[in-house]
Amino acid sequence: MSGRVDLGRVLRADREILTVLGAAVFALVAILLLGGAGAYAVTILNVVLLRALAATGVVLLTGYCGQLSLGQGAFAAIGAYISAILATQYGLSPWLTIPLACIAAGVAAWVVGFPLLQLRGHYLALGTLALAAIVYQLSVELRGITGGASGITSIPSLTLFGRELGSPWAYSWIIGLVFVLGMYVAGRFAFGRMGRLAQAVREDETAAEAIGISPFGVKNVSFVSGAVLAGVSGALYVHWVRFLDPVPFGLQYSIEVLTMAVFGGIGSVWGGLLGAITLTVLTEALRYVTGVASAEYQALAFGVVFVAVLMLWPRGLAGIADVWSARGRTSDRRGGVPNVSSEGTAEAEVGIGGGALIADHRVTGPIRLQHGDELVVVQRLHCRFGGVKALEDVNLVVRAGEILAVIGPNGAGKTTLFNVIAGAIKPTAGAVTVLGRDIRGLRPYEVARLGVARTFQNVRLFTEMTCVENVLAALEAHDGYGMIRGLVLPVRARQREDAAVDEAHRLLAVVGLAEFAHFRAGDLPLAKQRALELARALARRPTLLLMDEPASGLNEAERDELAALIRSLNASGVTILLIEHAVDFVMALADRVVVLSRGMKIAEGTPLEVRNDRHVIEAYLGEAA
Amino acid sequence: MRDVLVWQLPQWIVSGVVMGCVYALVAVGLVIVHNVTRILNVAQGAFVMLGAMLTIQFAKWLPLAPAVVAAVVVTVVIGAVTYGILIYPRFEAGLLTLIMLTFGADVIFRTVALILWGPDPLALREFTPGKPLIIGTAVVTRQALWVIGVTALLVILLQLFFKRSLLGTALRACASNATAARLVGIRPQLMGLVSWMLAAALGAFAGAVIAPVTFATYFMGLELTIRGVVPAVLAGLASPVGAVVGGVVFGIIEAVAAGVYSGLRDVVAFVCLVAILVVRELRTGVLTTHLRARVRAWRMSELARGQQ
Amino acid sequence: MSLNKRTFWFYGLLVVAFVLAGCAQGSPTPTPTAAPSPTAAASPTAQPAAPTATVPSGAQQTPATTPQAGAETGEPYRIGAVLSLTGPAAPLGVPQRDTLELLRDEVNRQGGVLGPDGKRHPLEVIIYDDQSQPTTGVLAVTRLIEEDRVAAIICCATSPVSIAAVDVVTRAGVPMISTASSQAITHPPEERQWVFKPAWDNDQVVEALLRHFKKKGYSRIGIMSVNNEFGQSGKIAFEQLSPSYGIQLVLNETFNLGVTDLTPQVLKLRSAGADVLVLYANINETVVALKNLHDLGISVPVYVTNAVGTPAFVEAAGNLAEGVFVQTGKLQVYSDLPLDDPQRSTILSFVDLYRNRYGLEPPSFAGVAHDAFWLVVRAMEKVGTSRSGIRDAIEGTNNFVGVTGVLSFSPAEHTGFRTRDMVIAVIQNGKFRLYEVVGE
Repeated sequence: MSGRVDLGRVLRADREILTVLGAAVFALVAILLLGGAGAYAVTILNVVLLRALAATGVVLLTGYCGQLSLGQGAFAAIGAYISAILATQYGLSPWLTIPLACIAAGVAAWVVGFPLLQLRGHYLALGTLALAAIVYQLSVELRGITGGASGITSIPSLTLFGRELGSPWAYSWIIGLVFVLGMYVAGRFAFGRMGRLAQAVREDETAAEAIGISPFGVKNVSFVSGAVLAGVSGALYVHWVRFLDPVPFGLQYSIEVLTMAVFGGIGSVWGGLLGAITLTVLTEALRYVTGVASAEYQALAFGVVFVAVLMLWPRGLAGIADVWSARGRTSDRRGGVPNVSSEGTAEAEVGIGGGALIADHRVTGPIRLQHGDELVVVQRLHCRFGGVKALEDVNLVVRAGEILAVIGPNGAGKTTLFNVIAGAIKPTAGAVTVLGRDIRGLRPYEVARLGVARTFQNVRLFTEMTCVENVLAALEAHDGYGMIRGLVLPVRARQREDAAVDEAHRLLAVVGLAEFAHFRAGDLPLAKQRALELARALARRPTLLLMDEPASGLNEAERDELAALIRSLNASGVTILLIEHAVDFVMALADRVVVLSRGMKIAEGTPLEVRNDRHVIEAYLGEAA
Repeated sequence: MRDVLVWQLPQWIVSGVVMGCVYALVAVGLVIVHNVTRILNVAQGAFVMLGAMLTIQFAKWLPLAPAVVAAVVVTVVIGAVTYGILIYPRFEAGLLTLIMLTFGADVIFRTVALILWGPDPLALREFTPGKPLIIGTAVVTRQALWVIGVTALLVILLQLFFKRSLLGTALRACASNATAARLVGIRPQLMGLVSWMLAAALGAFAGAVIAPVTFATYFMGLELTIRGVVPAVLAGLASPVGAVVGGVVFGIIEAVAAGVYSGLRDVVAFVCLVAILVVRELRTGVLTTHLRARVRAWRMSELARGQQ
Repeated sequence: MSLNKRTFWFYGLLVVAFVLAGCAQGSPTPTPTAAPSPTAAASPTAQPAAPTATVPSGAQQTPATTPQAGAETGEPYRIGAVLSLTGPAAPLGVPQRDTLELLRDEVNRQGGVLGPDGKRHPLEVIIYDDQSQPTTGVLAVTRLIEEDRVAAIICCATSPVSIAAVDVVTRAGVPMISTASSQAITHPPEERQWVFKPAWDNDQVVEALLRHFKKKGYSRIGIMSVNNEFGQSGKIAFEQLSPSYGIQLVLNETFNLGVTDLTPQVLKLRSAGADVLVLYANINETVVALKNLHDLGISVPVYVTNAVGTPAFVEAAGNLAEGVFVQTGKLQVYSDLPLDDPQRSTILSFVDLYRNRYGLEPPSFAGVAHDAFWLVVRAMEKVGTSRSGIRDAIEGTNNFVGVTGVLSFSPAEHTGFRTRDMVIAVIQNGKFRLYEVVGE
């Protein structure tokens, strides 16, 4: 590549910069343009921007992280009341109270998130609904603090150099500035590390945990981000209208804001703004068209138009762009421009991947263990679900550097065993240690961070994300800047993210998926999906790799490639624990084999020993083929 | 104090049971629709509102019983049409979009009701006028008996329908495993239509029978939906019977809370809900595990950093 | 996903159809009847400005009912109004809109407002819906000021929205008349220079009731109030003012808007031993409370506020409303007003006008809108469309005979109503009958 920076290409490619720039340009143009058009137009702009802030919060929390929350109203109310109370009862300047209000909303979200974010799906929606109802009721009941239903009047507006910023136009500059800041936060979230983690959690929480992402942590950050945006919206509102009562922030608000996000396109950072513009302008425009005498008809027309738009564009207005883009959405910052130079990329054939791994020691972590050390120790493991004994008194040792296969008939408990080792299931009794650590109290992501990776029987990819993003999620699961540091030190955060992107591309190349980097993971054929899942598992330089029926669905040739890959992985230091039904495949590959049947271990030894074991033949293999 | 409780608590419970029956019917409708179509129908409460409004309207021209039947029939037709226009074409769309569509439907129903019937509440006479009964220390109006009776009848009929009839079994199959149901020739979209019509019927009956007690307004729908969602979700959005029980219990909790402190009514029910949900999750030890894990994670990251 | 052409056309046409239907449809209120019968008093524009209390407005049977010939036509005068036409406050806003439209048509029947320049100016009243939400209200008010360039604004039907609009009208220097009831709308007067309200403050309502209770010898009262601005301010006023009347609050329950069952609260009434129950709520909740009282067999005198002083309440409550006392203005008991009552003819002509057009008796909110309208129009007759002129004119209005009361304003008092014009009515045979005028 040439040394000169192509500005056009950079801008086109860097979505994060684009987000902030776009927001700034929009705000500037709108303020200047509408400023000349009169107070009415500017007032609409202010309302739009305030709503856009809260709606963008919804985009981050619900669109990116997949958590359906009806609680934005609660956080907007908290932001509004904190700012109003601090300004009126304690006489603090609004310049101070607004940031404090944001922090208050964020802290409230963080605290409330602990119980609430344990819930999922409809339960979470309900829980956040309850939150909104509770906050509303509190603001009515706590009359001494909040002024009750009569509210707080004479809230001071912002002043600059002694001049009151009360006119809509003056205030629009403040709101515009905050809006740009808000979009900066949104851009950092959406196109940076957190966005990928959030999407991973949304796509498949189990798989996300398996690659070391803490779902609760990610949800919490998303929740707080959404809350802060709602809080600032509420705080700005009160210093503009200068009157606050519980009414604007009831359940209605949460629904409105969610509606805007869905309307505008909940999968896009611009969804909040687009939805806010459309719905606000639509409502105002309907006044014009249907005439003043029929407010009820306005409301009806609004409902009809709303439904019609959703029917036509289920993905919202921002989703219209999807129709035109040739490839799927890419959410990494550079929109698909890899930074690797073309030399040095491992040339791999299309398919599972060849033996290029042999020399690539970067795939595995430093080998701290000696070959043959105890890696996983399972002692007297019992696992019971209700009345079903999935595992009974299983003892097993996995030694470093080996390929250990677990075989047995269906229902033998093989996947259960994997789940226990990976931390997804708590054993009923018995001890399990991995790398010397007792894992029984650990969450799956903690086990993953210990150096255990896994692939799943039914491939669990983040189907809506691209291949690069899938791998990135694993790379960035534990390393990288958190949200706050990422906002304060964006340049360094971006550098780390860029490095991760490069690494992701390299990994894809290793498994032969280099040219599919920006394809949607769900669009790939099965063999390539398994390769991707493997690349993702390898991203974390695991010491132990659990593979659950990796050969199922593959043909002969693909299986041979897979075997070669597994051997080369093993050669570079990864211990492999493998469940398989394809007996020949396993026998040729494994160093040792363990046979489970009906929850109990019935045999263990080299492939040859196991093959000729009487019990094994009876239970599983049948007469030797 | 104890005196007050002896004399007031039973009445609270009675009043709670009556409202709880309505919540129960809303909840069952939600559960049925969700089971078959996985959609949370925000407009469920609107069916109740329509049932109430239409009954009042028809009762001006017809005797009461035919008026109720006519109202239910019309509501079911409205439900079917809504399904056909909004849901059926977008059956495969994302969950959030579908929920938003039902929300749009609710807005439309509400504004049409406002246009047709105005903003003021409308009254319906009691089904069987007469003095209320005194049971113990509680007063039970005849309409209250109607509400409880109709709810119980509907629930029993529903169970029979699901367990004994072919259509009901097909619905259950669809709820259980849509793909398998398709393989044996059951069309999920058609089942979706049936579930909607069923939910509309339940809602309409609820509206007709509760109108004499609470009066009908054009905006009563959304509140009822929210209150119906609580027991529905607590029943895992899966079991109709659980939804019924949950609805009645929820109504009682609400009434008792209102008796203790009126401002609490809306909130306490929600607080209970959140508490139940959270405790349920806590039993799996997630929160405490998380806290322990935070400490361990910090320690591990120290170690990991040392290793790399 | 691909854009199905048929889907697109179907929904696109649906949208267009609805928009057109909305355009074509006029007011959704009952079909307007023909011109008011000539026996109704002359059109109010024939009245001299600010009449003294003793001159009944209907006395002049001038041929002013026919359009004036000879007066030149000037530029249209514009008044704006922001009312709750949808949302929970619709029952308040809709009758107000109906009133404004009715009166506007009456004025225009004369050719318009007779301005200070001697010309007749056609009157335009531009009405927007605030959806019972402050933000929408602020937007609508701004629009009226900037785009529609109205001379004065009638806003809003609810107190929160009115208060939210105060800043906007103050900044723009546009006089605003609110039809809502909170005293925070007009107090403190230094910050409410541009805002007026013809109707009673919540404090005045409570004072009137307490005066009345004292007269009747009630010493233990129970109140049940709705949990919104309206109900809470009433509750607070009762809490603060009762002791000075020697009255004890033995029950003080609250409930949320739209509540469907008040049995728990009503039950407490029985054991509290109250002499009388005051219900501070909207129609819905009041009717529910009455029903619960009836079902539980609790009989106690019940007082309700003007928020339910409407025919719609009587219709919804049916028999339950019999014997219920209502705090209201003289409008509801127009047929019982003594002949020498200064408001009698104004009220009677308004009732006739309203009833002829809408087939209903006007609720008390309609009366407030009537007074707001005439305050502005009278001011316009004096000063034309000068916003500050209108403000000054209203502030200087004294003894204005309105439907709500005989209104007087001053720089220190922007609420026009005086407690003496409050009335206690009782519902008998489905009608409001005068029980007592609160008086001085």
